[in-house]
Amino acid sequence: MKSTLEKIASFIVVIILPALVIYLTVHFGLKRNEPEEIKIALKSETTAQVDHSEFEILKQKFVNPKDVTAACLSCHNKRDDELMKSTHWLWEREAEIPGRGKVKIGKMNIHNNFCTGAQGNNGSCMRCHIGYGWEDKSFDFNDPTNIDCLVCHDKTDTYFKQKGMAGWPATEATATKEFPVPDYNYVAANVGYPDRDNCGVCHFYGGGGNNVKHGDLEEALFHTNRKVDVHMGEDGPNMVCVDCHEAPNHNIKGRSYTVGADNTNRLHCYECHTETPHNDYILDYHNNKIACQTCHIPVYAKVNATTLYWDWSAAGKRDPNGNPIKEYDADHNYSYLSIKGHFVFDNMVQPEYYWFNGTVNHFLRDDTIKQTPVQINSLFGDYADPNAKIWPVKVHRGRQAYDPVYNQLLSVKLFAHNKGEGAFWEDLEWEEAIRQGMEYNERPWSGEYDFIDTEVYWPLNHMVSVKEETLSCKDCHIREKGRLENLNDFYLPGRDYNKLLDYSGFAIIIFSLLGVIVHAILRIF
Amino acid sequence: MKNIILAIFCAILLVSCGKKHEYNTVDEMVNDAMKTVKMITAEELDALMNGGGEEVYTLIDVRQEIEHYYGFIPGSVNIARGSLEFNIGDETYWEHVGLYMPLKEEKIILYCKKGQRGILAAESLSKLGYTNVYALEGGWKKWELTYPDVFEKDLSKLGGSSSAPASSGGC
Repeated sequence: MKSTLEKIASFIVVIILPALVIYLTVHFGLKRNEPEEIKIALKSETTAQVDHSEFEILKQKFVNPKDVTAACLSCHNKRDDELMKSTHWLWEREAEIPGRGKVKIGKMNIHNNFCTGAQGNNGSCMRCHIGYGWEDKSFDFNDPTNIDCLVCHDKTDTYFKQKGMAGWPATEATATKEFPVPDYNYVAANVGYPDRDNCGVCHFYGGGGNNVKHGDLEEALFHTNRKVDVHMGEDGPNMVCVDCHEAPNHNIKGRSYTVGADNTNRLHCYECHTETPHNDYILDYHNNKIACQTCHIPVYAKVNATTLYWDWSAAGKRDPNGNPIKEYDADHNYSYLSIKGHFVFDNMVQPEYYWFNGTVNHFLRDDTIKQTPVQINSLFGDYADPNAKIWPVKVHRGRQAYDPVYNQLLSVKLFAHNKGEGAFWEDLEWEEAIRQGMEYNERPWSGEYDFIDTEVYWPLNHMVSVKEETLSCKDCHIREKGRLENLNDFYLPGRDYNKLLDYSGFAIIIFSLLGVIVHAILRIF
Repeated sequence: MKNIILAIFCAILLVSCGKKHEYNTVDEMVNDAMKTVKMITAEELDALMNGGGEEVYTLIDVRQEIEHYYGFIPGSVNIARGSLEFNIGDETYWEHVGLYMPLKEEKIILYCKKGQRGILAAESLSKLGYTNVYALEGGWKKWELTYPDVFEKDLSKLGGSSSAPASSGGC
């Protein structure tokens, strides 16, 4: 028989010590530490501003905005060289796309899934070009006075490019109540670092209305709170676009993957938050395969709805009196417009999830259709790709006109100032609008048209949620209906299982415990 | 002594069981309801609708009337959630809308805008003894995005369309 001391020693060694090891492992292994505090000086708050109203050259009476540009460049010399190399000016950039090699892509030569394409619709689309008067192919990209400095640097919120005027502000001849002639002297005397108004006037309204395109960029961000966007919330850091999208030499960091293609000049969360932002091993480890955005943007279009579906094949109907039709859904978003077709809008939308390695393929203007739906862009990446992570994505689906003989998407002339000029938005006639659109883009057309399903992918980056509203473990690690249920090229704990493996594991645990207990009993008694 | 311990245990059990469950958020309430409510996907509903009428079912839109007529699934009847329990077994109501009153064992499918009201409504009908109730996963929005061409609307019932949101910029 063992002595009492030996029994106690055995009890400690066989029961207490293993229990302590398990406790310490679980306690420290699963410990959730507080994230590190981020201390960043915002660029917008630290950039020195000067009083432009003191400069003599800006005291001349400005009538033509090009004279303002000339005055700007007389001091800010060489800035025009920088700008005229930028994608905001050129609307295209060279990119290396796997399977294609080096190509120039941008609004110059891509289709989009909204108003289908900019070229040929210059009066309307080029309102958001940073130049004056890109009305047609004769626009001079080498004339620095065509640069519109004010649209990005106006701090008065009184300077606007007029609708339908290819980037020109209103003149005495075209001014309306909505678009008066700008007071150029007042604006030129009050310029500075771009704020969210300057960027938002185009980037919030792309596609013909608020939040039509992005889903995570919309007018609610002009004045918002942390629950909508934890970075831009006025009750939080109150950051503006250029705090992240810095622009050294007018080369703006970050990009939209509906017009960009390669994995360069990107912005990354870790630039401020480090690569171990949670101060927690398990959460930080997720970042090897999960983009920060996946957990931190659980929903998008948090305030106003975004378009999720746009069917051009329904466009062109008229009411019994021959007038164009406008109809709305129950939330007062467009559901049908004769000039554009049938829409589905929604807000508080749960993203779809895809692998993405930072590189995108594009369906270029002259590409031949090889699959349906036509992917206007598509994201490269899969589980095996070391650079790929799971990203939240807005997928915008639709139906566009295509040539069933040449098997290509069609370029359509949508905009004109007057009826009878062949533009679809004025005349609601497809054939003439296609003929003129294809002619402007110097593309052959068989004379036939039909409609085909299309889709475009927008990786989400904005409307980051407060930490209390990020995804939790069980949003993904759940047997059914998890967020990642459509990504099946890897093993996801909690979702995926193998009965043989699971039962074997349980058996090993049970038999191990039994072994420990039996061993303990034998050692103690 | 054993009897006293047993009595205390039973008392604690009774108090615990009798405590009314309260939810902090509607999401908690819906998640709880989802444990018992049967769900149907848009694809399954489409198959049912195109099944040649072999299975009897009643499709009910539990949104408000002001939401329903802007766009709804063909064949659905609009009974707002607030009056669902009162109308579902009211023969006069069903005569008024010109449809057969669903029997308690017949399949009933409920939908709302995005799914949550439909789930709560389905739970409520189950408590009324309806044994074959389903909620449409994702509601009208999921249907609309899955089958964008399959819908009806009746704006004339709304007394004219509402004003449009302002549009700025872009093309």
